[in-house]
Amino acid sequence: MSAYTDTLSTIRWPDGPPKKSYDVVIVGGGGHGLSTAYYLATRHGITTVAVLEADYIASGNTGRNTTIIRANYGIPEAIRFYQHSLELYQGLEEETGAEILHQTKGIFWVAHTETAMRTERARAQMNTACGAKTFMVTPAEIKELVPQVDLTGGGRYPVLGASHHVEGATARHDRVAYALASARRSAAWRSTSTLASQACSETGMAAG
Amino acid sequence: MTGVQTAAGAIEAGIVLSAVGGRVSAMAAHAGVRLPVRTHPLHAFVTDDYAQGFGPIFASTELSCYVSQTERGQMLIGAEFDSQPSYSRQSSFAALRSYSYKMTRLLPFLRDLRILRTWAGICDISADFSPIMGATGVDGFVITTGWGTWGFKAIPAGGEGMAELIATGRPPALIAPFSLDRFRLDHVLADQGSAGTR
Repeated sequence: MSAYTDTLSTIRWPDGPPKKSYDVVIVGGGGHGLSTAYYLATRHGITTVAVLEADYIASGNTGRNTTIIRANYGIPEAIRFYQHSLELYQGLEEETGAEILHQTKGIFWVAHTETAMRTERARAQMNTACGAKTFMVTPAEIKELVPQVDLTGGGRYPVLGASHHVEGATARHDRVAYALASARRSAAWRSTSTLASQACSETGMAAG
Repeated sequence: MTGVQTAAGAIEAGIVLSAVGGRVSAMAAHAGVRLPVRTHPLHAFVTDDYAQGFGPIFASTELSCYVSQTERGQMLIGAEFDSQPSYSRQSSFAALRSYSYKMTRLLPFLRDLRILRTWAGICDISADFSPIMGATGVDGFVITTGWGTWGFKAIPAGGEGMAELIATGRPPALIAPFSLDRFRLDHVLADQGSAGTR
């Protein structure tokens, strides 16, 4: 055991086989499936929910991604949605009581051509208009905040500037999944790991 | 939709949500739903520890690669997904070489670190590079998919939105634009340049 594992949330697995019927069946025990179950329980009181996972929890992309949390998108619908998600992440440790190792770090998106600079300027303006904090920074400002950078890009990818998305963050991905799956406020829902959703037969999801 | 068939037997459900990742097309096909989604592998790797510390997340969208430091001190590097659709999670040397070449130009200190571990995921990428959340056209079957290479950041808001949709029968305003219907209605949300990858 270590400080790392000592603070990991414990998932309460259900005893015995799944029931014959649930209000909601969620296929896929990754971040989005677990999160939906979590919010069904905590926001809507819907707890007769089964999450089916063919492998182990977060075994897919939830446990394989590079853990970046950001909202610096290019269209209003996406910026608003991801900014809300970024803000929910900021409160997730307090809400779930689980340590997800959330860290606000800021993200630099550097540009190597004038075309890319225009794209980043437009991004910064659109972000600002839709509630995400993104500002343009000069090469000198980048160098001050990221002293390791070679602004010539090895003579091949010169850094002309960057958009700086200041609320960009990371969190430990498997801990996010565990925080939602252990969900201390939603103990009633059941997460069943032994079911093989991939084993759906031809009749599969029986269309009613 | 009345339920799902599993290895442990049939389970009835008032409503079924597919939150399947890379293999979503096969899952949705069980319900007769055809999705505008293709699955592409995406590779990542970590180096051994970088003692000095590296504070921010650093990315180049033109080069489609990004780097940050994990809480354990490793440098974590990812880049663009493979252009060839596949369900393979095998790591690719070509990807490793490509990312390494680009990132060491911008951050030369990376040259002194060794690659510790490499892996891949399979990403469900929609036709307009935005996620798909909501109704499928099949009664009692809803979906959250198209999370491509941007699903992690959306876990809380995606789950919150889908929970409200399931509980009330209506998509909240924040997720309503991401309906599957948008492809039929030609209201696509093209934002590939913000995917951080291509």
